[in-house]
Amino acid sequence: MMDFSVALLYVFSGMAVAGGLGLVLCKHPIHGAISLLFSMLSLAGIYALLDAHLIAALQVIIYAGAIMILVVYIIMLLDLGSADAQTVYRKAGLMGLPLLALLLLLLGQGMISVAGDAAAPPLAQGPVVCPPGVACETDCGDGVDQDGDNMTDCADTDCAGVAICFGTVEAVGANLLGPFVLPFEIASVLLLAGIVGAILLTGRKPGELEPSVPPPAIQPGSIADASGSSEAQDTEGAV
Amino acid sequence: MSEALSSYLLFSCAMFAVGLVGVLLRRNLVAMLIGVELMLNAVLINLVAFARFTDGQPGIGQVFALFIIGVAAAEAAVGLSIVLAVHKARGAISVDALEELKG
Amino acid sequence: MGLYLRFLPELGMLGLALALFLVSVTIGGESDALDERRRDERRRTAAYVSDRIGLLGSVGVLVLAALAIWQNGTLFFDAYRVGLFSQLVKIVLAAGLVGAMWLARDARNIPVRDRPEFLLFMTLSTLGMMMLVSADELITFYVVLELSAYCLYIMVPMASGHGSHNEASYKYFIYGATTSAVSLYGMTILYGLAGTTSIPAIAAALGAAPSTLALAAVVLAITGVLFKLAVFPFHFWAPDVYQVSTHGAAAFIAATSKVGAVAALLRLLLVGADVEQLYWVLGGLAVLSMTFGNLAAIAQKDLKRLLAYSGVAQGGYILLGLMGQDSAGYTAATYYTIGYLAMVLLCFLVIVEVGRTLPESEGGRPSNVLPISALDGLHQRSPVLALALLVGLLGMAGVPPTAGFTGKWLLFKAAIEVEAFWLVLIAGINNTIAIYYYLIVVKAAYVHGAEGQPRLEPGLMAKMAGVGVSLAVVFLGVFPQWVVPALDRAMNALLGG
Repeated sequence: MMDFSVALLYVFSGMAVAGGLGLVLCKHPIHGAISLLFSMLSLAGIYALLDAHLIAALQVIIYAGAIMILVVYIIMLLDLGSADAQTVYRKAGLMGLPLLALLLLLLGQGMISVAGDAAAPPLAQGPVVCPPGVACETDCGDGVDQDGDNMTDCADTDCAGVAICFGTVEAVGANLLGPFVLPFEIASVLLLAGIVGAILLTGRKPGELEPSVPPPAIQPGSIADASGSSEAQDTEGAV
Repeated sequence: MSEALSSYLLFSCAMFAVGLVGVLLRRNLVAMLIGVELMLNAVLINLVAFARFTDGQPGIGQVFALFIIGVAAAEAAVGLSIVLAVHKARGAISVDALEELKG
Repeated sequence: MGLYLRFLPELGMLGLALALFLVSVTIGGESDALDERRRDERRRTAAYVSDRIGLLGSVGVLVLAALAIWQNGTLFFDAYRVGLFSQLVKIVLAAGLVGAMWLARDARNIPVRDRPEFLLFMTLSTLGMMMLVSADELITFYVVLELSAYCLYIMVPMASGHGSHNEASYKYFIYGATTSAVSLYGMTILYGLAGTTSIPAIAAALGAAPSTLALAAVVLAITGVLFKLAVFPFHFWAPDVYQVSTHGAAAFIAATSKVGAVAALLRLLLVGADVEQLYWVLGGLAVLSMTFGNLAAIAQKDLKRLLAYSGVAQGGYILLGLMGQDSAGYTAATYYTIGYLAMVLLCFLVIVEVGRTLPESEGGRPSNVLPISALDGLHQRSPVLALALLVGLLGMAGVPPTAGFTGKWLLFKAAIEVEAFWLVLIAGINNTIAIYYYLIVVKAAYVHGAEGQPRLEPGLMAKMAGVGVSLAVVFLGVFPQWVVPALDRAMNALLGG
């Protein structure tokens, strides 16, 4: 069985990276979006390999479902995409690549040395070992609330690491509405801001749109930059 | 390569690099946004792998991943509405404006 | 009750945001049943009401923040730490919000119909910053960082002008989203190394087992905040965003959000409290940032662009205080940031008042640019505004007796204490360069004649604000002992646990 999951890891990660490369290489954004979809679905497989079943499901529903559909919808709505290779890539970006390579070398080397090559430890099966002097949920499969905190089995955060609970909705949800209730609530404020912003930026009725004529040059000569590149043209000439 | 933590981490490193290269090199705003989403996915791999392999508090990594998925949804909404606004105003969304955006 | 008191400023901000949101959806709500004239009337009412609610509400939050100053302890399962440091910063943030709200009150180029939402985003962004300084745990930190950032991303394109607003805002957005993804990558490695997301626990784990990976992770993790502080090389967005956004939005981004960024950086650097090589990283960024910012600022002809590049340089000075990761440096950085907030608000007061007299650009839309030449003869047209500009600029240039001088002195002293002589030397040279371009602006205001310039009639409130904040800048500079001991205590508490 072990070999089978290693093979799956190879397949999924190969597909995911290929999908990512597709994004970089495909000229038309819709192809990029589709290859990203491909890569997101493979990632869901990897999460499932890691026993994080809830995250795997949400990856498919939210990332592959909601977000990518939104992206594809926008691409089609605006009829984006140019087949001209010159307008696809920015040469200036190449200058960032050596830095990126250095960073990756550092990170990769550091990660290998820290992570080692041990295989995934088997998830705990037996009773949860409580820290000394603290009551906790010891048996996560008996439907009884051992430590009396009104959280039974997987819904108790003590059980998050046990095989029958890891990655389940109960275990993740218990954390979400327990120790992480503050970010959970703030996320709702964040989403509200996102909704209001999206309505505001896109919801203007025709006639109230910004003019599509190019603006007059901002104060000729006023925006010279020390680095020599005129940023005024940068912000205006992107047609 | 085996089914070890380091293989997952290296894989996430590769995904992160691909996403960042996408952001750096592409000119199209939507393609750049997709590159950012790819980077966020690399972060998610890291989180889930660490959550599975470390014995500290395994729930946290998954919760963190959940938050990132949620925030990414808001990010896509905000980013795409700005794309829409750019498109409405200019009729094109390629980025010479980002000429200086280097690593 | 005590628990509510600990969370009082944030609750006040949430209440204010809710009030603005309700104004936006009730009075400001569009109805097709209304004819054009009635609809216009309702928009004006909504803008009027939300302006008043925003200003009064933010003053109210300032009072609440002052009431909650002595609170201490944790909330929400230790995810949220309230202490003297966080409460002091919250007061400063609330004051910054009052200033920005007041400057934005008639930002004539925010369309009337968008005014409630504009103020809503300002409020939510400040709420995010307030929570940022208290977040003691990475997930909370990340979510509130994004809250404060997204609101800024949306505020920039809201200025209804020509298309370059939208392009600058997309630049801002995509660069911000990328750096936040990079910093998330660092945070996940920190989580992997420590097995937890609690900032003190991560600091302990990194101190116990230092490694190159830990250093890389901390550096990656702080990029998101360095972006908000617009430190080189994360500054690319700043000049464009300052220049094209409305004066009110630019003031908020330049002043209030910088306070949030510095405080968040202090808070996040706690994870690397025992990572010694951070000294070199922060020192290097400080040098690059001040040198680049100052050199680029010399060539600017637009006042807001100049302030943006000078902000890059100021970020470098602030990093000088952070590099030693000791309480003296943190105190100096926070003190300097408070003074910087007041000085930037002074400059933007002048920008808003002078900007009102500039002719509209093509299409009847107000222009958001402000060439330095528009300040010609300011001392004849309005002596009070000229004084405010003088105090603001000289403060940034570090001329005594302003808070800018005292702050720089404290920063340099802190840097010398951690044996960064070479850095202080470079900073000193830089400061001389900086005086040059600040004086160009002062020269326009004081030496150039006022011929051909439109009349300038600042209101009574504007005059009072100009004089009041100028006095505050000087007062803060002459009597640092009124603020520094409190900051010192706050930093000791922060670093001690």
